[in-house]
Amino acid sequence: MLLEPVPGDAVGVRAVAEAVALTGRRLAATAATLARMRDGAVWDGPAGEAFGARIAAAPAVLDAAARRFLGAEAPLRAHAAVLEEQQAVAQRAVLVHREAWEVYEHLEDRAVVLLGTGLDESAPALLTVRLAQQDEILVAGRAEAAHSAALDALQASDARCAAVLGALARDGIGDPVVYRGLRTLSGVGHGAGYLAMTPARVCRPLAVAGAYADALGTVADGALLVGYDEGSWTDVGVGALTSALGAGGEALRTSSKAGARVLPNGFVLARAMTAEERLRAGVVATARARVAAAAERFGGRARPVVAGHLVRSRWGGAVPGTGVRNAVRRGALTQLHRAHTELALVTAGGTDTVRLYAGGVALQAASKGLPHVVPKDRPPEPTPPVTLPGGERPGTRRSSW
Amino acid sequence: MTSFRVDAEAVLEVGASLVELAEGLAAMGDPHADAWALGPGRSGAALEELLGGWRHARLQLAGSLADLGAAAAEAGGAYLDTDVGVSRSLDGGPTW
Repeated sequence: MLLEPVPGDAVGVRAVAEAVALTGRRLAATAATLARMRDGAVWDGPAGEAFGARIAAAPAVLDAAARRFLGAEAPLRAHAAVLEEQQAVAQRAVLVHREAWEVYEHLEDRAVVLLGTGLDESAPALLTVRLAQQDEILVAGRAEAAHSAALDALQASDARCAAVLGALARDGIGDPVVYRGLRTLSGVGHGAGYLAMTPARVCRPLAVAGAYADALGTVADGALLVGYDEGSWTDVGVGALTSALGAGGEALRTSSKAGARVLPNGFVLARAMTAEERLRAGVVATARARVAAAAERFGGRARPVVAGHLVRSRWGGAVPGTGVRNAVRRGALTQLHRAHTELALVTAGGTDTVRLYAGGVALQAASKGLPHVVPKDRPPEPTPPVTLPGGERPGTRRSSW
Repeated sequence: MTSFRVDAEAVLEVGASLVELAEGLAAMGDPHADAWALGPGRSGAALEELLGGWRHARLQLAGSLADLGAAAAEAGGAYLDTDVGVSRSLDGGPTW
């Protein structure tokens, strides 16, 4: 029996350790920034006060998440060191063991040849061969012991690492058991739901089982909506309609495209994301756009927006020629090409993304058709001159903390 | 208490940072691939649980941070409007 190499990759573990430490530091820095602003900043004006109030309710989960990631670095690095060392020991043992057995088999072939010539086991030549074989068995035995010791050391290190990581995970922000069950049921149900596409003529039981599984997945989705506010259409719809009528629809439309992108060659690459993940990603993208729009008012401080690729489309052809007619035609084709790209991004994600996109378009259309429930921006009222401290430019506020 | 300056730019920088973090959290993928590097022992599963077992809180946090980022953008914009008004009034010009 040959020895097996030890699986695992110390370089990969160190990369994970570095990544989790980086994430942890970012989370901790953000939590610290928010805490400083929450505890010390004095806000002027309603918008600043509103922002300050929201910071006051900043989620404490940031601290817990930072502890999770920061705490994972040390045990991972310690385990990586042991993994690297013992993997090398085990690998040497594997090679020595294999070589010893190869030599042993070669010697056995030699012994068979000698026996074939009429010699018996007591012949000096055969005794020499047998002694050499015993030496190889000893070498193989020592290699097995070294391999076993390396595995024991690795197992101990693995247990220590798992214990620390497990303790870090018991911090109160882990997913509840029921939530995990619903997520599993949703995933398995919808996964098995593909069986429902089996033609009944081919295998009716499979089609029926698929339909039931899909229904179970949908029930689990409903429970997630109600119990955990996950993928809550009501929240999105009401929130969007009352506070940010246009932005809500934009978020839905953006989220329907999240995770899918157009490659430089014009093909659409879809990433597997759940509806909830798409929804969050869309909200984030919308918030990013709003921040960028506000930053642009500083005169070009906004980060450059990378132009997306467009899919291959029959609308993508160039329109040669000059003149108004050709210019209008070029503009129309560009619009069609962009619309085609957007639809390709949406449909790459499957039914969920199409549903999100449809919801987003409907919200945006409604926001244009409905009377404005959000008061229009009023022009700024005349502000009495204030005494600004010397040397400070307008655009600053002094607060204390 | 130590005093510090809060201007529109600072608020917007905080907002951009929050949104960026929210994006990273929302897009945080399946840690299964990372856990592979640890081999077949218990630490791989423990790492997977640690990095992936707070999905619900993570998505909620991403949403909250994105909202905060958008609120920062609004606050920064409002500061800018007010400051432009103040600046114009100091110059003796119109304040809109």
